[in-house]
Amino acid sequence: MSFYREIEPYIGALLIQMKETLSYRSDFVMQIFMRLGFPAITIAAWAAIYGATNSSTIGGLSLMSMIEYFLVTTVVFIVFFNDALWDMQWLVQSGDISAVLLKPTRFPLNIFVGGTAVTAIYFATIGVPILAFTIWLFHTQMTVSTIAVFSAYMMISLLIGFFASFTLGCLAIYFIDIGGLGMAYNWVTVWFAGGVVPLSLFPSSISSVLMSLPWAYQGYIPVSVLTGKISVAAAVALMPIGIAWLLILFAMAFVAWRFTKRYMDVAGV
Amino acid sequence: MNNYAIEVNDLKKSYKTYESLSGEKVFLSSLRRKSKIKHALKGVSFAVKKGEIVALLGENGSGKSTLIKLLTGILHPDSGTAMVLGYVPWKERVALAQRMGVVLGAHTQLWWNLPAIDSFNYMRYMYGIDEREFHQRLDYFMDVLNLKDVYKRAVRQLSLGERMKCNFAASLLHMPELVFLDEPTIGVDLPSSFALRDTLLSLRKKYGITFIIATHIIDDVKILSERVLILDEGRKVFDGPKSRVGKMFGDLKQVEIYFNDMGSVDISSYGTVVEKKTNYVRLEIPGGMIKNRRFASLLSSGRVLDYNISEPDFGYILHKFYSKLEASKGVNRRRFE
Amino acid sequence: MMENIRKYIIIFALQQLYDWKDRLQYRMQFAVFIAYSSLVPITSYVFVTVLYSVSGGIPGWGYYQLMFLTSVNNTAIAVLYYLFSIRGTYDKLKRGGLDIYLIRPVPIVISLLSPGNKYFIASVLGGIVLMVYTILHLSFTPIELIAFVLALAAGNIAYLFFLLFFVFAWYKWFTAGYWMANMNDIITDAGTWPLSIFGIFGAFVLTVMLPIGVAVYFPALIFTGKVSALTYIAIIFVAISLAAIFYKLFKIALSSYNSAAG
Repeated sequence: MSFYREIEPYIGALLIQMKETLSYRSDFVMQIFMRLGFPAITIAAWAAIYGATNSSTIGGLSLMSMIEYFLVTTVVFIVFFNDALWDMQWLVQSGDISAVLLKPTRFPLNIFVGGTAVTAIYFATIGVPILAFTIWLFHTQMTVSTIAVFSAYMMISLLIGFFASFTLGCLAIYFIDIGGLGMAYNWVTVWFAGGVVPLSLFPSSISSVLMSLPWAYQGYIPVSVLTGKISVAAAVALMPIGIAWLLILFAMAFVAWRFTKRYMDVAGV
Repeated sequence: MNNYAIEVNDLKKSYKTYESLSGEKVFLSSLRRKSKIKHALKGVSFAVKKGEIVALLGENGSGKSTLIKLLTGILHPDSGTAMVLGYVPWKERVALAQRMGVVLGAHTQLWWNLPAIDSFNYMRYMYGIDEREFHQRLDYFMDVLNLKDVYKRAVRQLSLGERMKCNFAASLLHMPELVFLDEPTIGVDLPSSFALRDTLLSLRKKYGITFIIATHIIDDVKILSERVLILDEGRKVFDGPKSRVGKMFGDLKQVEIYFNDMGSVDISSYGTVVEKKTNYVRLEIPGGMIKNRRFASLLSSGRVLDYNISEPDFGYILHKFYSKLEASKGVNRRRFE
Repeated sequence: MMENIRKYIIIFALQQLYDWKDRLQYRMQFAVFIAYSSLVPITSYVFVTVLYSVSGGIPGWGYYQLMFLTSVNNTAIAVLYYLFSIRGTYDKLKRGGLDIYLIRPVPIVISLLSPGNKYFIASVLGGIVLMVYTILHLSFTPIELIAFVLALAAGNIAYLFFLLFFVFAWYKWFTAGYWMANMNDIITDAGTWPLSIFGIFGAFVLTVMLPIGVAVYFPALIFTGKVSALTYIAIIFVAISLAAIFYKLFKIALSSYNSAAG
């Protein structure tokens, strides 16, 4: 089979998922506004906090640096969050998983493509404009190496997010309803990735632990690369750990799916 | 005292729907769409006496579900009036709900992960059913619907037929005066369908409950109702005894003939051929043809093994009715063979 | 009337009972979700503590005052999530599942207070614990306590009716509505902070149009001693008025429900 024929079904899945995302126009437009809401509130809060603080910096960050940090976080976290867990739960609860498994495609790739389609649309419509605005406002140094390293980390973020979410999503076959697990995972990992508070604001004993976890490679490090808080050289030096986490989570997802497939055969799903 | 359970006058209801323009370009075709007004009901008027069983018929999109939802207070009409058991449904919904029952085929009243008995208990409190009466009615429904082994199992573990029967029981536990059923036997196996219909007839006989049944299942109409109300594109096109539907096409009979050897018999000269196979034919003949000497001679000839004369199947009559409707709108419907 | 109220209370209580029975069929989910919803007040505590350890916090708000505001927000929102689900209601609107509620002899609001997430009880309890902890470090009078409770109740009822109206109205006009759950998350995130940080216009929007202010901020203001006694009455009056307005708007929006056909 030719390479194009192999990937053609996934291209079709990608396009139809994009179309479905855009099918409710008002929902799509409002989702864009909603994603701007969180950084707006966060920036207003930090502006007030800085106003009450004697020093011009908090945790080594000035107000402008903090604003820049949260704007870039908004962009990075479009890729950070992955819906694989929710998609799989929905398929199990609705019974549609049988229909998807009957298709001549690989199930994990189907899930990946579906989620990536949605991420791509929101990245194009929200991420890119915010990124452009941030670069313009803060005169961010966008060298070729910065762009390359940032892009590499975004890819790592996308894949880590998918593999972790997919692994947890496999539990839907056994437990049917894993919504709580999904919400708990999102809540905890947003903190661990520096989405609520920059990791540098935590005590050093805590931040050094957080920096060794995979979520720092999804959130805090790419944000810091773009905002110049971590140098390109340092980010490249850290990349092997991020890739190692990626491979570990890939292995977990692989094993989880094998067990799940076997369970489905036995249980007659 | 008002003998009418339902009185409807010129009820109208429209919806705004959207058509997406399809196309190769992903984004543009999704963003462009046309809005359309769908007139679900275009001025329907009728009345139903207490104790009647009325079948509400019509093709998909004819307005049956919309009518039921208006009469149960789920929807508000654009114009027109309706009185159900003396209430205006969309204004006095809670009071009306106490005296009516609704069985929606598409939605269940039961808690999915709990045994049906829990949902029944919930209904008891919701409708204020006395405990002794509740147990009597529960025993009755569990017995007639054959649910004794079922109602203590989680609903999600039940078959579709068992779930529908439990849903049916839940909706009727409070012994309402009027019951609306929106496709209650859809997807239900044969024994369960018979059980539901028998229960319905028994309730009507014992308690004088009025039933309005929206259905596509011909057996529901044949077994349950005396009267049919047919909707088409939001209008009432027929309201009367179901026997009168057939009479619209004259005094017709249906004949099935099993031949030894059909040979070159010109069977179409006797009537309309509905179905034809090797040595078998089903004909629709005018009633007078039975006394026709030539036809009688054929039936008593050695060519014919056996034959059966009966009233035309109601489903077939309904099909002719819809065909006639479509023809009157200038649409050619493919002949059913 | 009293008999109807008694009946509705019993039905509401039964609904909660059966909802719990329903959810407890999934024990693993129960354990995880209880653990998750317990995290919410804990992370709020951590966040405020970290904030005041590295900065001066919010102007005019001490550590315990901001912690109290945060705990009120957590508790109020947890109660809302416990009772009401925006996504669940939207799904019912989309699929015609609301029909089942509308054929029951109870006001639909009672039925709509069923599909919430029962596991948020842990968040409610955690929020209350955090509230009590902060109250012990704040001084207050009995009048302030009573006014706080009344304002909190009226304000949260107003916010609930606002959500009901918004979900139904938006669905009617635009059909799509998954984003409303995100909107609620953002509004409630804003509720964690004193409204003063959003400027006059922001404070107005978050009080009258998106009434998280009357649900959280203004009741907390009473308790933190930042307003006069006359203002208590004004706050309660505004909350009750908004509740009445949004309820009326909700009833109008409900009358245009089209089930799955429209």
